[in-house]
Amino acid sequence: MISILKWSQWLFNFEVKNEGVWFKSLSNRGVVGWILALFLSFGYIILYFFPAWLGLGAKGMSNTGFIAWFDPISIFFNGSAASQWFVYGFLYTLIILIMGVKFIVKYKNNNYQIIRTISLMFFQLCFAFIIPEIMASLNQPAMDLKNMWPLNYYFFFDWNIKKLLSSGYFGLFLMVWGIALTFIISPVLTYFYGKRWYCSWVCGCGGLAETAGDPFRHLSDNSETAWKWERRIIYPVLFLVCLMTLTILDSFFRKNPETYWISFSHFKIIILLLLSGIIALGIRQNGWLKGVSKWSKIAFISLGIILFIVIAFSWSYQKPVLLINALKLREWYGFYVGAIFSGIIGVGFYPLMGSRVWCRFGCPMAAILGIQQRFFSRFRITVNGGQCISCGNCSTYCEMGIDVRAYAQKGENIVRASCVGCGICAEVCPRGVLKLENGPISLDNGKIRF
Amino acid sequence: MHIVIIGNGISGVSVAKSLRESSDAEITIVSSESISFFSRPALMYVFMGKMRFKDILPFPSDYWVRNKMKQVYGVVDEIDAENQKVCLDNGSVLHYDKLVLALGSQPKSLGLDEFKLEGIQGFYSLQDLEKLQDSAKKIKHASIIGGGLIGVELAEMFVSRGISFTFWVREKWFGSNFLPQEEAELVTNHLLSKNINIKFEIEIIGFEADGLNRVKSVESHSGEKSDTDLVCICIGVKPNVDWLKLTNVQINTGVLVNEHLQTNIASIYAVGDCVEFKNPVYGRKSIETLWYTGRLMGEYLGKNILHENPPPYEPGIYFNSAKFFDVEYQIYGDVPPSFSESYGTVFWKHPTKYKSIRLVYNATNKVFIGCCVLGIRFRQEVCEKWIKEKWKISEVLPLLSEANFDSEFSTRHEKEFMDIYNNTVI
Repeated sequence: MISILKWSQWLFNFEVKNEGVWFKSLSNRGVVGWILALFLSFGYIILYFFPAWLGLGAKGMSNTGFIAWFDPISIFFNGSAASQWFVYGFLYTLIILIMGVKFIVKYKNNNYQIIRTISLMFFQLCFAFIIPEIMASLNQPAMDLKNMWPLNYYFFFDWNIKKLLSSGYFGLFLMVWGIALTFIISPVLTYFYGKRWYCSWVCGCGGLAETAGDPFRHLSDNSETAWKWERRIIYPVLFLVCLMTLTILDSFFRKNPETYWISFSHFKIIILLLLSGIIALGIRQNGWLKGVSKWSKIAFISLGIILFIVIAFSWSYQKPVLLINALKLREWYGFYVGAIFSGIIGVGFYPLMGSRVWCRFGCPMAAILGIQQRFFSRFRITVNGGQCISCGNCSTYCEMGIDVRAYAQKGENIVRASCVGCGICAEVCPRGVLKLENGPISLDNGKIRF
Repeated sequence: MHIVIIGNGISGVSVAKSLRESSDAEITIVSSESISFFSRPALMYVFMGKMRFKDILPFPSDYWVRNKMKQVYGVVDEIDAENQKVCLDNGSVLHYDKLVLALGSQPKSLGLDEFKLEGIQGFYSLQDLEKLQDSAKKIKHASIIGGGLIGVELAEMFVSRGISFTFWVREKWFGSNFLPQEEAELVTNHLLSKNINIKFEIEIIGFEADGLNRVKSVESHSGEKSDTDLVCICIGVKPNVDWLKLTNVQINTGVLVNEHLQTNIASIYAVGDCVEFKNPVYGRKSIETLWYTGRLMGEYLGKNILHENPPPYEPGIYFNSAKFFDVEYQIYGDVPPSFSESYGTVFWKHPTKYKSIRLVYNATNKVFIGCCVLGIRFRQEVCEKWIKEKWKISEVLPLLSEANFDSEFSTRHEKEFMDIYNNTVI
C-alpha cells in the first residue's frame, strides 16, 4: 500500500521539480535504471523479432496471451484482431497520454509547456493512432499524416507509392500531402518557428521523449565529445536515408519508365538539379569556399565531378544508381536504423543516455530540420543580459546535451542545429536568463544575421 | 609578465578570462577552496540533488590547459610585496609581476564566538557544503538564523531533503532589509505557503553546547530555548580579509582600492567581494558582495590590468536577481527598501499568484530610475536603456511590454499595471 502511494506520488508529484534526481536509482543510472533499460530494450526485441512469444497468432490463428488482451480494442477500432504493431501503437499512445498528464502537472506554471504537451498528446492520439485506424477500417491506405520523409523512410518506397497511387483520389491526396509536408510545409514552419514545431510539438518520437523521457533528460551527455559524435552519426544517417531513397526510386522508375506522369528521365533531371542545388547552397553557405585551402577546393570539386560521372554512367548504362543494390541497402537501413537504432536504443536507452538518444544521434528528420534551423530560421534562445550565474541547470536538463550555459554565461544567443525548443532550459533557469524567441531580431545582443 | 590571482571564484576567474582574451601573459590562479572554479550560487542545487558537483563547473575540464591558465591548489601563507612573491603552505613560492586579490567573503558572525561550536556553520564555501552534507545525514532538527538570500536558499535545501528546521528571522517580514514592504510581504506569504516553520521578530542571543562542544539549543531574546543540533548562520557576509592584517596591504572592512581597483601597493589589485572602494561611485555602496559585481570587476581588471592609463571602473546600472523557492526576483536600477519623499513608485501585484511589478521614478522630474519584479522576468537591456537614457515614467509605461522576458504564452499583466498607474496621482 505504501509503495503504491509512493509510486503515485512520484507519478503525480505536485511540488518537486527535479529535486533529488541524482539521488534516485531510477534516474541516476542506478540498478533500477539499468533494470528498466534492459526491460525496455528486450521488450522491443521481443516485439520486433519474436512477437509469437507475446502471443501473436500465426497466420490464420487467433492471438493468445498478452496480445490477445488487445483484441477487443483492435476490433473496436479497425474490425480485426490485434497485430503486434497495434499493441505497440496502443501502448505507446497510452504512455504518452499518462506521462503527458504528469508532465503538465509538473510544469503547471508554464503555459508554453502545457500547450506544447497537449499538442504532442493530440497529435499522437489523433494523427498517429486514431486517424490511421479509421483509414484502415474504411479500406483506405493508413498513414500517419504527420510522419514525413525522411523520418518516415518508406514514404518513397515502391510499395508505398504503388499503394497510394492505386487508391484513387484519397491516395493521390496522401501522396501530394507527404511531398508537400517535406518540401514546402516543413521548411516554411521551420523558418518561422525553428525545428521545435515538429520535434517538440508534433513528432511521436518527440512525444515519448518529452513525456515518458522527462525523468531522464539530465542523463544526456553535454560534453563536447558527445557533440562531436552526434555530428559524426546523425549526418551519415541522413546521407544514408537520402541514398537509400534515391536508389529505391531509381529502380522503381527504371522498372516502370513511362507508367506515371514522372518518367525515368524526368526523375534523373530532378535528382541532378536537386543535388546541384544542395551542393551550390552548401558552397554558398561556406562563403563560396573562401578561406578554404587550394587543395581542399580541388579535392572538393573533383569529388563532385566523380560523383556526377558515376551517376551519369550508371544511368546511361542501365545500371543501378551509384551501382548500389537498392534492396540490400533498404533491408540494412530498415534493420539497423529503423529497428535497432530508433526503437531499441532510442527508447530502451532512456534511463542510460537520456530521452533523446535517437533524436539527437540518429534521426534524419532532425538532421534536416537542424541544418535549416542553424542557417535559415528565426528561432533562437536569447540570453537576458549579464544575469547568468553559470549554475548549469540549463546544460544539465537539456535533453539534447547542448551546453547551454557555455553560451548563456557569455551573453550569446543559442542557435544550435540540435535544439528542439522544448523550453526546459528557460524553465529551470533560476534567474530567468533564457527565452525561446522567433520574432524578427530587434533587441538581441546575439550574433545572428539575416 | 606573470599575473597571480588569489581566489578562483567568479571574480578571480573573470580576471583571468578577460586578460587571456587580449594577452599572452602567464596566469596562475591559486585557491585553497577547490582546484577548479565552480558556480557558488549553484552549491545549493548539489545539496538538493538537482546537479552533481561536476555539473556546476562552468567550464569544461580542458578549458584551463587550453587557455594556459595554471591552477594551484593551496593556501597562501604570506604575501611579500617588496620582493613581489607569494608563499604557499606547501613551501612553493610564486613570483609575480601583478597580484590580484580575489578573496571573496566569509559568513558574518553574531559576535558570540558561535563558530567555535561544533554544528554551527555558515553556508558559503565548498567546505561549508561538505560539512552540511555530513550533518544532514545525522541531525534531528536544524536552525537557520537570518532572513536573507542564503537563509531562504537553505530553507529550500532543507525542504527538498525533508530535514526539519526552524527559520529564525529578526525582522517582521522576510527580506525587509532589501525588499520594499509589499514585496517583502509577498515573499513572506510565499514562504508561509510552503508550510515551513518560520519565526519572525526573534533574535537569537545565545547557544548552548553539550559536553562534546556540540550545539544543543539556541536561545532567543525572550529567554526561550529551542533544541537543535545544526545551526546555519546566514546574517550576511563580510570581506574575507582577516589574514591580510599581517601584510602591508591597506584594509578597512575590505581591501581598500582606488577607482582602478588598485590597492595602496601599485602591483597589487583586488576584485569582487573583498573590495572596499575608497571613493565609491555615486549611489553605490563601497562594498558590494554580489556575484554580478564580482564578474564585472573581474572583466574590467582583466582588460585593464596591463594598461598604462586605464579608464576608471564603471559599475554600470545596478542589477541583481534571486529566487525565493518558486518566486524569481529581479531588480534593475534604484529600488530602495523604503521610499523617501523624493521617490515615486507604481506597484502592482497579482491578486492570487506570487507576482508583482514595481516601477520607481524620481518624484520631482518623473524620470524612471528603477524597477523590480517578482514572478515575472524583465529584459535587462531594455530596463538599462530606459534608466541610462533617463526616460520619463510616462514614456516607459506604454512600452512596458517590451521589457517582458517571460516565456511564450505567459499571461501578461501590462494592462492591469496601466490601470493602477492611471489611478495613481502623479
